[in-house]
Amino acid sequence: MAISAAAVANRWTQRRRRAQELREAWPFSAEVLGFYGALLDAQEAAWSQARMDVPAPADVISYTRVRVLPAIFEATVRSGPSKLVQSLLERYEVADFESIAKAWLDGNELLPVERYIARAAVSPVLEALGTAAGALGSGPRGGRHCPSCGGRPQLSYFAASSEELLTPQRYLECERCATSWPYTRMTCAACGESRSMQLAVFTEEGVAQAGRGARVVRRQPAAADLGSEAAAPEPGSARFAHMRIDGCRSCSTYVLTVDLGGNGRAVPVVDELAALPLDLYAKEQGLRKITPNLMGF
Amino acid sequence: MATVSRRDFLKLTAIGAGAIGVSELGFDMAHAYEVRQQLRIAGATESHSICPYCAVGCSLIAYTRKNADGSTALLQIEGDPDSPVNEGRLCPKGATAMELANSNRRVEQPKYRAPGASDWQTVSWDFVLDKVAQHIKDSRDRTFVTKDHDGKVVNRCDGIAFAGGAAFSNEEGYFASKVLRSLGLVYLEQQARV
Repeated sequence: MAISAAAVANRWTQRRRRAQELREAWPFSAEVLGFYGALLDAQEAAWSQARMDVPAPADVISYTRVRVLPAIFEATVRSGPSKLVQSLLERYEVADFESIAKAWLDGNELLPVERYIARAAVSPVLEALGTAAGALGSGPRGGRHCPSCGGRPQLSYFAASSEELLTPQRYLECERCATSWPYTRMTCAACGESRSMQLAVFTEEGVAQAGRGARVVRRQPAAADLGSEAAAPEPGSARFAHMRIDGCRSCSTYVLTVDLGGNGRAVPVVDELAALPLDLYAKEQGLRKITPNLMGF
Repeated sequence: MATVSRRDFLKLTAIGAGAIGVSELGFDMAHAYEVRQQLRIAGATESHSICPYCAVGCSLIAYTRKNADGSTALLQIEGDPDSPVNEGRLCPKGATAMELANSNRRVEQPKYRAPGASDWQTVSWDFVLDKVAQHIKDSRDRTFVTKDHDGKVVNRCDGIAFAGGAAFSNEEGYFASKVLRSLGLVYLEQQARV
């Protein structure tokens, strides 16, 4: 089913709205989300322009360097953390961008600052191109890789359920082009491990799966979840009631999962960026994220 | 002079960033560390199972956790969205499968209501087993049929019927069938077909 332009454009509104909500509700992520909010303006403008220009896949990197990079660079210098800004100003040459962006699309190892600038600039163009972006990037397609561009999963989410007795499908979302695709719930998104004893689910105690002792069915998003007061948790409740860490002992990786049935206002890509304490916990468990997100976590 | 490869440099960068409480890109992590210290996080394991209640055989996901004393706690059961049988759905009865193990209203001791009595009383298992055995024997002795109307030897018990519980396993159903057939019962029904 084709996604309408209005629905796609709404993504940016949703991201901006959620970043603002969580910036207030989760002060520990305020710096990250403040910067992300500033970057969103440049990324949305790049996305809109790319939808009109529709660059050929072979020209995406050079197009991004000319049409997108200056605004991303400027937004970063204006609003980014000083270490990132200093690294960009001291060590980064615009002439390097095309080789860095190509290395990122090929899945090669990059310095954090290189990974950041490649991703911040190229991903809105890939997102604008949609399936046409499939001609870019290396690696296999489908399964544990994005069926469109071959990128790795940045996050996982459970769709909101339309019925109380229905457990919804799990989806993975691409690190590069934000494409979502269905994926088996009880399988590692990095190595394909499916033995349950090798897979661990970590949740904040008290609310999510690990603490739902009295619940036997999924609940639909409560009316309050859809209202304006849903961003801040009630006193004494868990902050991350709608999130969990899906870890794999076979490959020592993890991915954060957002349950949209647990919070109807969540926007997976934003909530994943903001859940810094869960990332810290996962690292204490000896796990590394399948791929770092835009802000390097 | 020792050389540092690109890979080593990447590792050093990551370790150094964590040690001083600033992320790789320079975000201050102090507040996030504080919140992390306050978080109470528990690990759980997801396992496949099958609903015991009917012949459809809906797939379940069971969340369990190992307790400190070595026991396993069942935390939640929900439908498996990857199953071609139920695609994540459960019926209202299947959705309560966890109550089989966890219900705090589960009756844990046998109850007996004497003929004519209005109240249930708690009794021992020995009392109940003796009572059931005696009733079975009495009914069987009273209703046992050795020959039918045509004089054919049938040796059957027409006075007792048996309905197997939906939560029976195959093995329990097999055992019940064998025992009851040995008594001559012919009216047997089971739902243990999963």
